[in-house]
Amino acid sequence: MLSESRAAAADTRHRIDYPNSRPRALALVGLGDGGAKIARRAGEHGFAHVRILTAEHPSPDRHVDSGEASALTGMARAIAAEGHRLGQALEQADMIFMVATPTDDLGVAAEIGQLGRQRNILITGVLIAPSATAPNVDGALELLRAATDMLVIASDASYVMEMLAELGATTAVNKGTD
Amino acid sequence: MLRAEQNELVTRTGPGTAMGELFRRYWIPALLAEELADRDCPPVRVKLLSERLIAFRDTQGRLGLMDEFCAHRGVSLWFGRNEESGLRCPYHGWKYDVTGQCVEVPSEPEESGFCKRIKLKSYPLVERGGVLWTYMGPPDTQPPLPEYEFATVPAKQTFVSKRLQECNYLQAMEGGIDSSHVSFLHRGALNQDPLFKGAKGNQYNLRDAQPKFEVVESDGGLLIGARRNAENGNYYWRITQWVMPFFTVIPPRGDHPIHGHFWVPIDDENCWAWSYDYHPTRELTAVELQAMKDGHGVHVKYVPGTYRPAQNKDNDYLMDRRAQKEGRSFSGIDGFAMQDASVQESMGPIQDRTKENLVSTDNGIIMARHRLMKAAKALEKGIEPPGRDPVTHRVRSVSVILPPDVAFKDAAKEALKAQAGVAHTSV
Repeated sequence: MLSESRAAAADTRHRIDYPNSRPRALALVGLGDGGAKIARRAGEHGFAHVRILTAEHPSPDRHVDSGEASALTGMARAIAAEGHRLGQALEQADMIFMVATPTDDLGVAAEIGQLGRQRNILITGVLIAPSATAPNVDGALELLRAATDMLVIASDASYVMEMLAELGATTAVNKGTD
Repeated sequence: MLRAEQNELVTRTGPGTAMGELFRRYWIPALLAEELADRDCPPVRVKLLSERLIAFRDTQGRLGLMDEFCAHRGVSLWFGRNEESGLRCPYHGWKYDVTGQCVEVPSEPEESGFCKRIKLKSYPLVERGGVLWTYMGPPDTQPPLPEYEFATVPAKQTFVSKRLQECNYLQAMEGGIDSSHVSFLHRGALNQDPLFKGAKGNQYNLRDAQPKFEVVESDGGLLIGARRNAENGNYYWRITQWVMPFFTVIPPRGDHPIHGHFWVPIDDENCWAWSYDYHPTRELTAVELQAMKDGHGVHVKYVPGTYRPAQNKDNDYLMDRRAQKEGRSFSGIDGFAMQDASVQESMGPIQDRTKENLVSTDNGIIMARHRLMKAAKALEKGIEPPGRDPVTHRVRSVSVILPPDVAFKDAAKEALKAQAGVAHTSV
């Protein structure tokens, strides 16, 4: 007689063929010019449930004082600079991603990270760098590490599209990222 | 989640498949040296990457790995007589040397030279570190021999085992590069297993079940850093190495030996889970060695005479629901290796990744798939994949406590390299 585990592992025909989750709302924020370019390219894929945002012109006053009031003020300035798009879009997200290159201005990274934490949303940072020892990588990593819960350093931007697809972003015809 | 065609790409490793062609560019473990211990010992059936092969050690000690079936009428050479520098089919006496070259066809006159026309497909088989390695790719792209540290330290400093895992290689390997499961699946075992317990780092695993991860591409594959809270605002980092296509080094604990794995496809629904333990600077103690042989740590107890785990799907992995209920075991399954294998085998022969729901902490897995698929597609254009240069094999994993503002990749840069005679960095 087959053990239950053996029978169960062999039986692949009778698995339930029904969706087991509802789509999540993903927000991809491109930081600086390089990050914005990558984010816009991701937008051209036509992913459903992915909000593409760019923060090419961060708040000019990046170095806010510590303390919640100041931090919120800094965020408010950033939101004002971006016309409220950022804050509203991020509030509706289930997962937030920030993408940047080593030379990008990461001015709003800390504020976005704080917004995520206030709303209990995990933040993933993706740094696109040709290698981990490329110029400016360390500085960018330091800023992103402080602002994120998960950090990825990838050598090419196609990773962003693949990551979004693997995390559930689909296109209208499920073309994906090839 | 992957699309169906991506899942096919990344899981199928037979001849002519993209991932199969990729894996054939590397030296891969084929047998334990103990399986062909003596000259003229019995031949051993080997299936790798969906190819059926036969392995033997001839009269002169040379190793051979070739097509399992006699070219005459397809008899399995497992029945062969290993004698006088060749493997002789018992059916009509055709004999082959270790390169697969037929050297005798008794029914034909020797002068006819008929046997020279007959040659079985064969692959090189080389011994290093207690493992017999093979390379199944084009001869002109054969890389240098592997230099993973476990295979190059003195014999008394290393121990290797293999076990059958009855599922596709990828879902097994993904378990090896996902350290977020340790705080759940292996909870309890950290403080019980003789090859894990007592390390200071264990307390951080148990206290902090929500590590933060960093995934960084390395020359040979990936570094996956998991960061947990330690004292005084510092972080406890555990940094796993993944070298393409399927080699890992798991972060060490205390002065316990360093361990890791290979997951080598047998076919698309089965793999060999190779496990090693080694210490860079001292011999393994008698207690450690016995624990490994007894199936502790990442090793298993076997069904006698086989490399199949004694806990397997035919006996529900000896699941102990009482231990699970009473909190003595989170999973109810005994032993690290079978805790992993049981859940991974339950996913099915080949996991259907079109139905998974990954989270951000799965970025290590996402990046590994990305690197594999990218390398397979690049190989189709003639670009050799990463992880073939022995420099990329000479790596270590690390567990270390670092201040909060220090990048692990920089602070642990030297510790992540394998250096002969230098102790590993471990908490």
